[in-house]
Amino acid sequence: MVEPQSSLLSVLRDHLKLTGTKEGCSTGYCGACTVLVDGEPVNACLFFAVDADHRSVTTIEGLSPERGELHPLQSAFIESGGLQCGFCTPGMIMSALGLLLAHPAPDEAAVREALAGNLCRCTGYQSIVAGVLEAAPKVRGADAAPARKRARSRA
Amino acid sequence: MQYFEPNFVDEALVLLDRFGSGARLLAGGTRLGFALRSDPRDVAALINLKRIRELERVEERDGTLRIGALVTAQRIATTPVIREHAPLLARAAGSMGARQLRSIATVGGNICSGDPASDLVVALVACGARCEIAGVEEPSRVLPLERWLDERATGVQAKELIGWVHVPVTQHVAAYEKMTQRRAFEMALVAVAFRAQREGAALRDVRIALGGVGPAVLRARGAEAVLSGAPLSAASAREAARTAAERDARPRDDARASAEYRRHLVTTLVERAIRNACGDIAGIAS
Amino acid sequence: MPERSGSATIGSKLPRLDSPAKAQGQAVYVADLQPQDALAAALLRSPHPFARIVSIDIGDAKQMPGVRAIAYSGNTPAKSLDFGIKDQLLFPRDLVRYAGEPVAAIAAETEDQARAAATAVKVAYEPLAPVLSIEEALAPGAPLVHPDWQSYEKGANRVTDRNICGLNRIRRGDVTAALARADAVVESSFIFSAGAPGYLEPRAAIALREPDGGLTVWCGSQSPYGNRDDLADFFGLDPQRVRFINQFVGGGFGGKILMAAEWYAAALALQCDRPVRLVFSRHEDGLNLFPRHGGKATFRSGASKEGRLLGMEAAFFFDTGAYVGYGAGTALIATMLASAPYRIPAVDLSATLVYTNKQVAGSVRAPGGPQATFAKELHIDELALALGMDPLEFRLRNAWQDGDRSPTGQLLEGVRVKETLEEAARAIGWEARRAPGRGVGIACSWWFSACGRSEARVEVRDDGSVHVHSGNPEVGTGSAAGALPLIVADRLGIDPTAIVLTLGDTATQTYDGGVGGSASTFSAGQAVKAAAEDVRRQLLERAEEALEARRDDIELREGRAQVRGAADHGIPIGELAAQAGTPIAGRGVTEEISDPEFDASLVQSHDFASWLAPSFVTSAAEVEVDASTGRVVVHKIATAQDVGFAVNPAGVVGQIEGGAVQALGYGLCEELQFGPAGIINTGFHDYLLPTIIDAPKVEAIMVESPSGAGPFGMKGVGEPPVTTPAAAIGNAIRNAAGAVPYTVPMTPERVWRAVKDRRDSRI
Ligand SMILES: Cc1cc2nc3c(=O)[nH]c(=O)nc-3n(C[C@H](O)[C@H](O)[C@H](O)COP(=O)(O)OP(=O)(O)OC[C@H]3O[C@@H](n4cnc5c(N)ncnc54)[C@H](O)[C@@H]3O)c2cc1C
Repeated sequence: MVEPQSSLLSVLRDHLKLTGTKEGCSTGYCGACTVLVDGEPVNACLFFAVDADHRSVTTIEGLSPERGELHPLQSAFIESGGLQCGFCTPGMIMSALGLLLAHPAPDEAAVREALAGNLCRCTGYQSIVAGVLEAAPKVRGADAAPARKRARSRA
Repeated sequence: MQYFEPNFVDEALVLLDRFGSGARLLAGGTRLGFALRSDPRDVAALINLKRIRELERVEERDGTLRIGALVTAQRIATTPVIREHAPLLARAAGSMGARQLRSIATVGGNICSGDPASDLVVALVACGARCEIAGVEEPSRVLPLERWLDERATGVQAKELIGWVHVPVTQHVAAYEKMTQRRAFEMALVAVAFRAQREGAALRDVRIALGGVGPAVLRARGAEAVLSGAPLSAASAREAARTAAERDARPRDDARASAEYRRHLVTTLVERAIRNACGDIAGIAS
Repeated sequence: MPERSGSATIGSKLPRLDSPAKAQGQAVYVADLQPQDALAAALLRSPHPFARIVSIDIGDAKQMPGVRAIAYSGNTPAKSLDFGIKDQLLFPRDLVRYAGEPVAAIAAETEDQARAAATAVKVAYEPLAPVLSIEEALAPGAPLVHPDWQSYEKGANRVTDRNICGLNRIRRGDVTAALARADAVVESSFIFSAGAPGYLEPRAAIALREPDGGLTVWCGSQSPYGNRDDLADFFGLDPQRVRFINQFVGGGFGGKILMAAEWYAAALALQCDRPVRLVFSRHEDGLNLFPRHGGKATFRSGASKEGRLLGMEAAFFFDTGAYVGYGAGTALIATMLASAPYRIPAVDLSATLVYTNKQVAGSVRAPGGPQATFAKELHIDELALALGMDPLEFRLRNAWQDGDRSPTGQLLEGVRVKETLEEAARAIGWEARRAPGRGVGIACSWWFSACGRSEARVEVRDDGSVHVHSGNPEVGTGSAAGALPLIVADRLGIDPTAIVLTLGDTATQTYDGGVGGSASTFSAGQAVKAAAEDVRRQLLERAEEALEARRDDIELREGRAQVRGAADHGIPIGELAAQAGTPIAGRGVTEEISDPEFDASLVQSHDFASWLAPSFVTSAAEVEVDASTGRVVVHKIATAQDVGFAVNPAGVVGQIEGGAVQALGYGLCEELQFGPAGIINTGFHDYLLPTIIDAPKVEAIMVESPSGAGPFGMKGVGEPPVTTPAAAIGNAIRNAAGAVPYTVPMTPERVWRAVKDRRDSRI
């Protein structure tokens, strides 16, 4: 049952069975549950589901809806070795997407700043930064604003 | 638990009145959510403020920057009028948590969380901010943020909400210094905000706020007095920093740091803040 | 040189096979499984670090709404778990020994109901004065964490004595005489805080009792086979009827070798006929995590004025928590690292393992490695400085060379200490002039390759698909999803991305010792290689017939068997399987590799006195220190590591880069803290992992000196890169600021204090 205090994360994972968004800490301190709400990155564990009403929510599942076809950020993470255990990856990619939607050509410092709320224990982050920088020009071309175009979902 | 989405401040106030201590106001929910989810039992009404559009506004009018309680940290960090008139506040907001948190956390919620190391409160206190409070009994009052924080700490104002934060727009110099254990994504061990008006080599209306060194955000009144009215020098900056650390700060040992270290950080960060704000004054820049 | 064949894919950069699923959020972790009819589980934990259990009453809890099962000491076997010392029960009976220790588990229809019922279990405790530090544990008359220690069964080399549960020593030559002869002698004492593994995925498990009396467990483990055996043994089940199905694992770092959620989910599932799902919150995960050992060490060493090391004494004490668990390894490894990789004629190295009323310390990535390396490498720098020598030069002068003997008398071959030192120094710009506040530091060490039992099955099907079954789980390191497919692809001449992997499912009957001790590619790689070679042989045999060609003329390439130089004269390998009428399958098992010889007269109660296919590693760091706040910014870490042979270079680089940042956390900001009521910081807001802002540039340098033992000459790579960076950072801090705290983590406060104390002492 969705309750007024339910988090967006519990609605995504437990009710909609969209388990690509991960639960790492439930306190906003790991970033594994990052999703975009109207293109803005938020911690789904902190965000109240009621506040997603009439707004567009983009999760990792929404990035490459057609089977086999990867979003440029996903390809870049794979190519650069920006993922190992994979648990931080969906949130990391959503934060990166949030950045690229707002700043299509970020420098390394901007990438790091945007991903400061996404912990990764495996990679040491260097390959993640490389992946985001590599994906930037492709995201610019591919989809200027997938989050905004996406059907308005009622959580 | 009943759930409400009032569209106007007055509606929210009526609900607050009706549910009394069983009511909870929801802004970003980054603080409220955790408590609510682990134990929702004594909450009768959740009053979501986010449909109240007027609380989202940011405007500059009559020498005052008016920031609605629902404005998020991210908007504070990036909105041009704020960056122009209160760069200190924008900086502090940009150092809060991480990007995702800043999309959600609101200035009203941050103030009401009562955190002694809140970046926003430290910056706002240094800015001389005032709160516009809407209440059931008294339609609207405006009072200094510090006063309101004091009142809140003593438990009054259950039937009020913060509507807006007012920041005076004046010519000033300012700086914000935040020390954490790792380099990002952490509450301050010590935060220092400095703001003053320059009159040649002298400073007027000096305001220094300290976070993380007391039960609430503190004004460093002793340090302010050292600097106010007198010509600024390297020696007076150092003296002010020492005064802030030894007289104004009231740090305690905790799991993150010793009181001694926090006191030392106050010295260092206050001096640094003065230097960064007034770096062009002869003898100050090192 | 390692032999390469087929498409020569080993040693090439391959994105791991699991990466598309992970990048798309399709990889399934345990908590992503939500069986419709699952019961939710919750644990009742001890609020006291140390207390006598007077009574446990589950009567009321059983009557609570939705409750379906309660497991506790009263209805589970009273058998001890065996970690060399039989000191631990699944559920405590007489004493709880750390705050957070699970006392009972409850399964109910909903999580809220399970939690409510947990609070309704009545446990009467009589709190006891806890032992919360090594000093308290070793004080005369200290309370005993295990009052019955004398009655515990234990293994041959295990030493127990009141609150001591392990002690080993390596002794060679006469240290006292050596130090008396030395021109410079320095003594240094170090403190290590306990650390968390820091995996992002909290632990979880689902268990279901099967109609045949068996049990299925969905887990995210580093060791599904070992866990299965332990669980079956404990509950008296036939291991063949217990199936562990490993899911993707959101990081392990040693913290998911031993079971946690699995135990409780299984204990509950055995009482009901529905799946029991237990997913820890981050906080709960912290309450019974397996930390990296905290502890302390004292070093005393001397050298001649020419810069030759003459003697070294080192004594470690490790706080292993309430039960011995996998704690012994840390102490054994510490003495092996203490004087390495240096020629020192006289050494006396000991490590003592101590019980306290804290969480059970475990085998966090390179157990003992960061601790021992931090202490010895800061100590070595101190000695170099006392001699007025450049720390790099001092190390080079004393570094092991081929033909040297380790402190335990093991003959050392393929030694690459010098190369790694030189490479790391070059990469960091050792000689460069630096701005004030900046400094460089260097630290080197050695490590082992572990070889455990591993089995694999490789199968070519008639549709040309190649299926690989290995018991080795993929926990993120890329061994299973990166290196193993490369090895198979190399042997069979196929595209690695065409491989279908089944990992860590005990139903495939491919036993594997699990991820630990940098053993994965080393062990599972051998098994997979042997299985693939078996298949290769069969394919070539069949191709000989099908192509009417001599076997020596046939090559496996691009999924085909073909006559060399005549690409059109060939046949797809799937076709060969079709002709055979059954999949062409091969099995492989690791060969027993005996440990290198050592001199038993030099060691006391030491189970790990010689190291297989040892590797050598050096890190250099460049830092900037703000002495007035103590803030340390690490600009760069360069790690030069002897990897033997890089089967999967992308994977190796990932291990080195990730290891550097994990070690940075160990060195600068990660610290488990304990108060009178136990662990304080279970969350990510108060246990600080390094963020992307903290992470420096990392340069990974692979030095390849093939070992005689591993597949393709490889050595274990996962653990070495986490051992040296914190020490390099420490030495760099001293280089930059003139002082360094001898306590990890070197928090800003500690750095500030170290610099200030030095300044104060000069006045
Ligand atoms: C991951 C994370 C990192 C953080 N890092 C930092 C940091 O670096 N620096 C920092 O300063 N803070 C930090 N915080 C704290 C954060 O800033 C506060 O949680 C946030 O600002 C609270 O705002 P909110 O809108 O989410 O408040 P809510 O959770 O919605 O509300 C908080 C409280 O205020 C009340 N309230 C809300 N709005 C009003 C109003 N208009 N009038 C009256 N009462 C109201 C609510 O009823 C509730 O009691 C962090 C928090 C998290 C979760």
